[in-house]
Amino acid sequence: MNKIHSNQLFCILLLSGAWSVICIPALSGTGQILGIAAACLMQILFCLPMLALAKQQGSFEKMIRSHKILGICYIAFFLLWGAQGFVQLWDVAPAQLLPTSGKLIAAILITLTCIYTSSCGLRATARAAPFVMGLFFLSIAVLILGAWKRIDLSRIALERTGFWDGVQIYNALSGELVIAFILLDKIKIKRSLAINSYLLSKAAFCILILFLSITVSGRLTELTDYPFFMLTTLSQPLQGQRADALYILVFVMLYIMHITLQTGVVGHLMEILFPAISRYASPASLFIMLLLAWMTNLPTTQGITSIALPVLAFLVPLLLRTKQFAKSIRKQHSETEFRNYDQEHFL
Amino acid sequence: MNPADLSEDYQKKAIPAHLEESIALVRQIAQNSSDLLINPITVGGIHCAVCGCEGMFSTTIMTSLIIEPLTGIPAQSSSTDLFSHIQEKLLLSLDRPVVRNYGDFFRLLHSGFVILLAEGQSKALAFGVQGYEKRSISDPSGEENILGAQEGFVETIRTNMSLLRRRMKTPLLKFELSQIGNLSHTDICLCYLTDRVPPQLLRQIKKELAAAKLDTVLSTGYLQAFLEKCRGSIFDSVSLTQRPDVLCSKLLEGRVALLIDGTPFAIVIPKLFVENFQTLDDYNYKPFYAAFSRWIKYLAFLLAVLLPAFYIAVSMHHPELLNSTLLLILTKAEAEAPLSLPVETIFVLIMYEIIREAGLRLPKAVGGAVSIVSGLIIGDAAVSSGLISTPMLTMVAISVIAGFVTPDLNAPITILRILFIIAGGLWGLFGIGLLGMLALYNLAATENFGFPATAPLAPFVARSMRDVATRVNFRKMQSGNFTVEEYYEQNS
Repeated sequence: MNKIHSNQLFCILLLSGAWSVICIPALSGTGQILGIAAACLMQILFCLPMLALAKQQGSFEKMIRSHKILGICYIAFFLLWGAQGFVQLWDVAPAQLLPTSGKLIAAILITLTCIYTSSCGLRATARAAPFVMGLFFLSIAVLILGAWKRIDLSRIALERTGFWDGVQIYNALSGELVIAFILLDKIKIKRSLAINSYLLSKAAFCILILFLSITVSGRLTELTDYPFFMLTTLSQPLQGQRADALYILVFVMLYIMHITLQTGVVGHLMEILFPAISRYASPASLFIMLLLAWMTNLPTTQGITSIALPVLAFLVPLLLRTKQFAKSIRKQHSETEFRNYDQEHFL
Repeated sequence: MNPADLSEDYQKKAIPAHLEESIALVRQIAQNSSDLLINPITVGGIHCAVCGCEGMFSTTIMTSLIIEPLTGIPAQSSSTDLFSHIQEKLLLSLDRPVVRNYGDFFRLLHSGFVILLAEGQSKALAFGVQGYEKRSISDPSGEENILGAQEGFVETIRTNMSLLRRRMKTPLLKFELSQIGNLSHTDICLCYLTDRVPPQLLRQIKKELAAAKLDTVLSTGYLQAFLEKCRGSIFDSVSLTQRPDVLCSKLLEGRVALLIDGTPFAIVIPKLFVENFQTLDDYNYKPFYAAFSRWIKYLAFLLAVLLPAFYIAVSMHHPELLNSTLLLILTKAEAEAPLSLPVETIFVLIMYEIIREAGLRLPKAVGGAVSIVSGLIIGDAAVSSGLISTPMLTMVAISVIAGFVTPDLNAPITILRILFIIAGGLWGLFGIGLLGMLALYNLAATENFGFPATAPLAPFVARSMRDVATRVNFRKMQSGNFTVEEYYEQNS
């Protein structure tokens, strides 16, 4: 795979994460805001082993070459996560009033688009990300502009409950950390800046949505499945006309980035593990994701990512880094012994 | 000699020492072509022949610079002495290569050289006295500007080289002439600044040109295909220019240009997407106005591609985006139109493309008539008869006019506009979002010799924003020795 830049990594991670955030079901109180902030800090600590490991470029590639089963585990995670994404799309589609004759048609159209986008490679995804980011920021600006007049701070009630919910939900939305671990291998400079900016920006975006949902939608938030879409419906920047249909554009673009990123990473892993069949990896993985989503009803949030995230994005890098560290200590030790031996016998 | 084998046989065939035999071979290879001129002449007591191609050399120059000095040469003991005398004591022409085979003989002959054959010599002397008819330098009709030079490239490669040299009097500007095309032997010239060009770019371009096996090269399109490495992209990754001043500015940024004899356009490699929005006039206006006009161009591009599609998507699928007054106007207009909105829009766009094609190929006088018929008669009649609705026609007209702002993007704009209309008509903003991502990925995947078309936005180069997001003045612009090498993305 080709090298990508740290600002591109930041963009793709944030956009993929933003899609998960706008699909958060049931957000409610200030306790959750604190939970999200705590989860964000926890994730910054989570990322230390992978950042330390990424200093030696190519270490992830070397690791999955020697432990193919681990590589397959990563592929399986992305397939399940992608399938979960499709399930999420089907659930969210009615809230977005997509103008297609059925949610399956919408999924098929997106899959067809993703077949092309993933065939362009991860580097194309990285290059496309800043453009989508521009549109994303614009939509957030429109959202804030529309919400501004309706913010009612009296709707904020300080609660202690929901803290653990916040931690749990936020961690479940952070599958991008696994992607970050894989792609950090391809970043030359400013790795920690990219990761930390992503973590902080995503947490800030999540807290912003939560804050606006509480202060604008109030108790309506509890009645809706997807607070973000309720928020867009209530926040209209212009009096005479509605703007919520414009979020369909952002929604579609974020979703395609989200799925393309996953299929792109699967393609990259397949290229390392099974180069002979890597050409078909992206369309095949899309098909498997769609099939999995259609055949099973995967849990939309707390399921796969909550279990996989600590293992694939924290434990594996930690073990690898420990192994590397032990190896370097052993090497240092043997070098010292050799030098001592030299000094004793030859000098 | 079998004419079919001719092209391969004569290329390396040596010139025989016997003059009669040599002339016979020339006639045979040329198959007694009517434009071949062979004049026997005695120079310094040695039997010689002067060969030329009718219409390719200047008779006046040949008489005064070649024939008159040759007839004044004193008697020589042998043809070897004669050739030594000509080469060492006479300055007949600055460009006078020695020819040893018929491949070079005919290449030079057909390039306007006059060639002297002599009895007993297995080589010939060529003299550059080209004087064929050519178009004089005129306005670059495809790249008009207000404050820049009014000189454009012409069809003659050497004139184009001189146009560049006049603007860049540095020895760092290098021209590399070579021939391409098995039959046409077209002169091509690679131009670059030796201190700025990325070496890997130059190396790869030369490799691609060497691999291009073509019979003829009659226009830039013949070689463009070999120089665009990214297949399937709807956006160009090499640019064309008709202006020597624009080309100089590209060379200054480390790009490579290719001049082709017989075409008034230069190919510039690589091309970035943002270059479609840059014109020479931007650098002549005050920075604040140049920046404003650049943002107008970005907006015009978006309008050209998306406006009709958004109109259809909003009218058909998302009417809540419109205010009540606008909604009533549109509903009334569309209720009276017999065709559905997407069909109506595509019909108008296809009509426009037909009229445009007709206007392009016709003589100017008839072209004017086409404009009157299309604009006044068809346009007015179609609206008054109720065949097409006025709001839709307005949207299409704005979109088409916006497309004129970025003429280099005409082809992708035309295709994308129609595709977006179909997507917007079928699936509203959802469809536009899907197609938007396809187009964005297509652009993001476009790269040429390792230079991404999306640079300097992705990969982001902050320093380049001074000529993308805005246009700073030349005090700042000239600092830093910027070259395109900064955008190069190496494959791991």
